[in-house]
Amino acid sequence: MQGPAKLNLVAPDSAAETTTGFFSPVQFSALNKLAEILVPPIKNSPGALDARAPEFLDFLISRSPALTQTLYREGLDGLNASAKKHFHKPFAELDAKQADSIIRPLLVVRAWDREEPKDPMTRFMTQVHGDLRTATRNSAEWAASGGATSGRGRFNSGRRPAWKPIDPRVEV
Amino acid sequence: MPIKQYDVLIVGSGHAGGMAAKILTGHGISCLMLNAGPQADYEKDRELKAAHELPYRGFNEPGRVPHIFQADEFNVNQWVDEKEVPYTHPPDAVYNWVRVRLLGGRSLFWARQSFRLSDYEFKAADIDGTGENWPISHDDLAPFYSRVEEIFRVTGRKEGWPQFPDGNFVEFQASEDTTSIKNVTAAATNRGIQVSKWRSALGKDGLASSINLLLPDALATGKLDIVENAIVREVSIDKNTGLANGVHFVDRHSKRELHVKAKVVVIAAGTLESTRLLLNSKLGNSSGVMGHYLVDQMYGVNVVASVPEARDGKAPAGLMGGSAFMPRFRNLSKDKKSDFIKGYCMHLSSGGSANPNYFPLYGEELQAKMDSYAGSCVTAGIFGERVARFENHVRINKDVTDAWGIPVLHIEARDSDNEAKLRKDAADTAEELFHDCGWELVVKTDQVNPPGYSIHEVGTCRMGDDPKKSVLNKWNQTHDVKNLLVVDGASFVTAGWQNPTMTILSLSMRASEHLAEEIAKGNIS
Repeated sequence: MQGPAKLNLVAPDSAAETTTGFFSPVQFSALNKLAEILVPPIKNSPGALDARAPEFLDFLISRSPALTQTLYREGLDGLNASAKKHFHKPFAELDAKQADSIIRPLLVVRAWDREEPKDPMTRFMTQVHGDLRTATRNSAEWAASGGATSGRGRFNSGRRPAWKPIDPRVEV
Repeated sequence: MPIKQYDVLIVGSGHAGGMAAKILTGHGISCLMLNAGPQADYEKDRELKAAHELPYRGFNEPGRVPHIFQADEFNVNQWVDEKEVPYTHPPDAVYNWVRVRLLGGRSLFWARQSFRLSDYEFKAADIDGTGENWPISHDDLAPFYSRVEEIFRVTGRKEGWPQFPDGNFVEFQASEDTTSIKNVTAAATNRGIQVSKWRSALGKDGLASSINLLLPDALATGKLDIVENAIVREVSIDKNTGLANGVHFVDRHSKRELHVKAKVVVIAAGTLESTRLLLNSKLGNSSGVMGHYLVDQMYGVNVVASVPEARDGKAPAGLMGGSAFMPRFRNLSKDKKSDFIKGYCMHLSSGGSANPNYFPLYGEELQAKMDSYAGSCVTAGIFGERVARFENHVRINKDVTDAWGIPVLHIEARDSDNEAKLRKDAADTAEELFHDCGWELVVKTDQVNPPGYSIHEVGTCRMGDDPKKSVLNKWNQTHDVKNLLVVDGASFVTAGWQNPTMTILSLSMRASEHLAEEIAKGNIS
């Protein structure tokens, strides 16, 4: 008797794109611009756009607590408002120098990872910067590149033991 | 088939429950262990994965375990699901309650730092001028510490310092310190701070757990049975004798209610679960202190320096790497008092890289800075003692129940002015040491993690000689019900700065041996 066929399984991301829609088109464009600027490709390492980090974050934030969703939406809206006020165009259309003038004042030294800046825009910039770095470093693209630069995300691209659901979760 | 009869019920399977099972069965006493979760299979239940192969790219499912800062997407399934077993706390007093219900409990995942408490902790009231002493001293517990250290194969460097009692160590593998560690050791010594090395349980085959070091001996006697997925709801009492006669429990999956009888009930569910069980049972609290004096350790303070000669990848061989450990050095003598009571240990690691959060930069500029500082950093942090205070407590929240309808805990724990002064002293001291070494300060903060984060929560059923001020006697029996014992961290009077595992194990061993003697004498039956 012939056994079951050997399947050629591939990761969904190798064959498909994430359907986005949590952020508005203007917000998503601003997130893409941030990704391009904050985490660019360096040496052999992919940047956040290569790693499709904005698409992943659209999904992740759509599943996140309301406070995080508000932080992101209001943060991206804030960047667009600031861009329009100073340069009369959306954040996504700024050149590098113009974008820098908005981003740099929102960057702070954080000696303590869990220290949250009080100003909402600064808090947003801290969060999105970290999330973009992690989404990039944890991506398949980063793993394929060998991770040429260090210290930009939470995990190395190597494989580690991951616990499966050990017992069915109880219905609550 | 007739229902099997047991001498002792043991609730919980971690270090405390595992030790109780090992000792009691070794005396020929039949035991039934009830554990709230299943046994994990390290082969079948784990799979090698890269972060991008996980559903949330390593970020974890948002909101699943918001209080477990240690959780990531690789290990999230090992922790208790907060939706299944919730707890409450005031909005302004976050508490991180980190639990494991797998067989072996948190003994599966502990960091293996293995310290004894000293009489600076056991007799803290005499030194601090406030609080309560334990009803036992280091001398009382020392023989049990020695046996535990042998089982867990603790390695460490003997020092002969009273605040850092030496143990029954396996041979310490000394390696020469790097120049950076030698420099900071010299700076500390000049300031009267003693520097030692970590003390750690080697265990066996990479594991120092109840499941590989304690339960196998108990099972080999043929005297231990285990029921997994048994959620204990309440201890039952014989109305005629006032003694415990068993427990009610719920099957985790079917939610079927069951009752099991025994002559003695030993609770080892892990500090706050033990106290929750007793509070829900309305037992053992004639003193009114049950649930109170919740305490753990402050984990935090982050002071980072960069060694200039090590930057830009130019560190010569032997400069960077290694660690130093400074056991408590504050308030050790009555003539040298700080503006706070108690103390902290400081740990240093050399050769790390900078966190990107340390620089207000982005893109290539940030990467260049991080590349420059890579491998040049020395980081200092502390484990600091919190003060056991009546106000820091747990109580039952009748308005919220877990997945089995059992009322949950409400936890209230806040730091006092003493904790603030202690951590400020620690951050300032680390900065001074780095300054003495001529290193560049990168960042400094005296922030610490919320209470509970250390996973060293202890107290809430503290032991003592006075039944009006304590829940347990010095043998871990409840003052109110002599055949009801709590043998885990709930029995602590003070937390110390030390990882509590060696003390929990030693207390459980001591209590279990005493219990076995009392059963043999017919004093408990």
